[in-house]
Amino acid sequence: MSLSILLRSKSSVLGTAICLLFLGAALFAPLLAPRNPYTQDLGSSLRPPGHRGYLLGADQLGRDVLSRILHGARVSLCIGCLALMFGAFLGIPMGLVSGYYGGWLDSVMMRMVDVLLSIPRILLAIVIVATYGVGFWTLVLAVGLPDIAIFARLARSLSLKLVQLDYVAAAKAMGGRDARIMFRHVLPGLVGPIAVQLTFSMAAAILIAGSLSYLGLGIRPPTPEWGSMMAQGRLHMRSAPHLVTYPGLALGMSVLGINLLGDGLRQAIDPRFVRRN
Amino acid sequence: MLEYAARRIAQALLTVVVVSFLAFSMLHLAPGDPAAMIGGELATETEIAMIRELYGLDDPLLIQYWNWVQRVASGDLGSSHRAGRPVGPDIASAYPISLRLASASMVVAIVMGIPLGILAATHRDSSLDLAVMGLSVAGMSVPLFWLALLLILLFALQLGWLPSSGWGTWRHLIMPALVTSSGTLALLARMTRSMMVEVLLEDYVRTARAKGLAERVVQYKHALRNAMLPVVTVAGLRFGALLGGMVITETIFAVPGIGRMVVQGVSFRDFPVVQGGVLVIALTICMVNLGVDLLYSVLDPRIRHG
Repeated sequence: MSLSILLRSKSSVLGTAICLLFLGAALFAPLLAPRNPYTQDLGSSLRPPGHRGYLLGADQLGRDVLSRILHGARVSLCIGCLALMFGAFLGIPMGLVSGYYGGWLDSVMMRMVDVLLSIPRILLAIVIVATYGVGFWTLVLAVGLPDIAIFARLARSLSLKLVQLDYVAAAKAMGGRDARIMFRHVLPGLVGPIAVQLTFSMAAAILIAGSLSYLGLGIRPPTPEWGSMMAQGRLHMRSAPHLVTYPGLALGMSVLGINLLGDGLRQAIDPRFVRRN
Repeated sequence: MLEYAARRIAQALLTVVVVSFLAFSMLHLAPGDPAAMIGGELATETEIAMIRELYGLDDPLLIQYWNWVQRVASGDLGSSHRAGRPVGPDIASAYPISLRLASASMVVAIVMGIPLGILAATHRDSSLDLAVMGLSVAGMSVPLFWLALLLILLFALQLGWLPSSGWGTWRHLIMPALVTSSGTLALLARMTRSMMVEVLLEDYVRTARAKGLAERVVQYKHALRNAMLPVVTVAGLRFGALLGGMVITETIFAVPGIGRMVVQGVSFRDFPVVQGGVLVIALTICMVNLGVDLLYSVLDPRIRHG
């Protein structure tokens, strides 16, 4: 895997730049934000962008939109990371075990994965929210659950191939315990493709979390979250379109950036792309 | 063929069983007493006890599930707590609306996505190719609800060409169908392009060119036909994602379909509505996926031996 390939394509450079911007906004939101994202100032309600120091305008309660977008990056990143951890930490070991042992265990697990993946993500998320009620951890569960299936399937298909390689056979012949072989010898071979999937899953997680929040089933106001900001802004769309356009732009750009980075990573680890380019 | 079909049908049945069990167990997994939830906030102790008796909530879970399946199979999906009327007829009237929106979106995605992909492939590495692929990446990243709001802002509020929400005329269909189709459209364009590019490098295409056929004939008669098979399959399998996206577009454009029904049901914790809606959507997706898979195996014999 060579990182130079990542920097060779313009789109992955763009993706990396957007991701860094997004990460920077999330990490340094309190330093970067010109105002407190919660402070209301009804006198400045619905102020247009650029007016009296409100760079991206003010919302219906006079809160600074830019500050709320910067803090919103934190919320999105936080949900995305937690959902991914949930999905990857459960899914990868499941897939590893499934691919390593094979047999009926593998069949049962893969049927479960098939079923889980045949339900649209947003629908599954809605069922979970309907069951456990709206809340932060429900959102993490709702967003991360399909990732278990995605990572299980990926880890399984990769470890199926790796298990047949000589060095794994050698480790077995030397009397290594199964768990040790799986985590010491098979798992490292999965790192590349899993990194690629992590980026794509991150983009999907942020998108789904934003959509649920827009529908009122995710993060609730007054927490600055892009989806819920847009839902509130919709009521004032005619007089203050900036309440909808900017948070949406932030959401769309970060998803796009992460996807581009994922594409770049995929090309960097897949030798077929090197040949073709 | 028969063996493949049997295996595929068994798999679809399994999915239906699991999904229906998921829908059924929502009420039981939810924190709190199911009987109190069915009864709603105003139910008295005696009413709750009656509900427990009526629904057999003290029976073992699997027996309850079986009874529920039997009720659902006979068309009884329970009553909405909020509206106080049976869910079945509401779903029956919302379903055709969702189906019409889904079909319209699929048509938009195919009619626009595939030609765009062909254009990009036949003009490979040109600025046209770059533009189509750029749009395609954007189409897969843009949040549906943002795209919807931007379209409303432009076509309804600024230009006044289209109604911002509601249902009834063909003008109400345009924006929801366009938004719902966006992800699938982008994917189809991208796939068509990469399949075409690959097929255009094949030997038989070179042969066709070598015997002096017009480039147009080579591209459309020889290459396109072979590039289309996987594309059409993906289009079919995207149906599920499309229905998922409709949950969002129906809510934004106030289209009285199943998706909006489910979202409203969740907001009010109206379980029978959510259960019924989810079940109907999941069943539809299962049927479509099954149909696509079987059709594909008829068209391409390699699948059923793979």
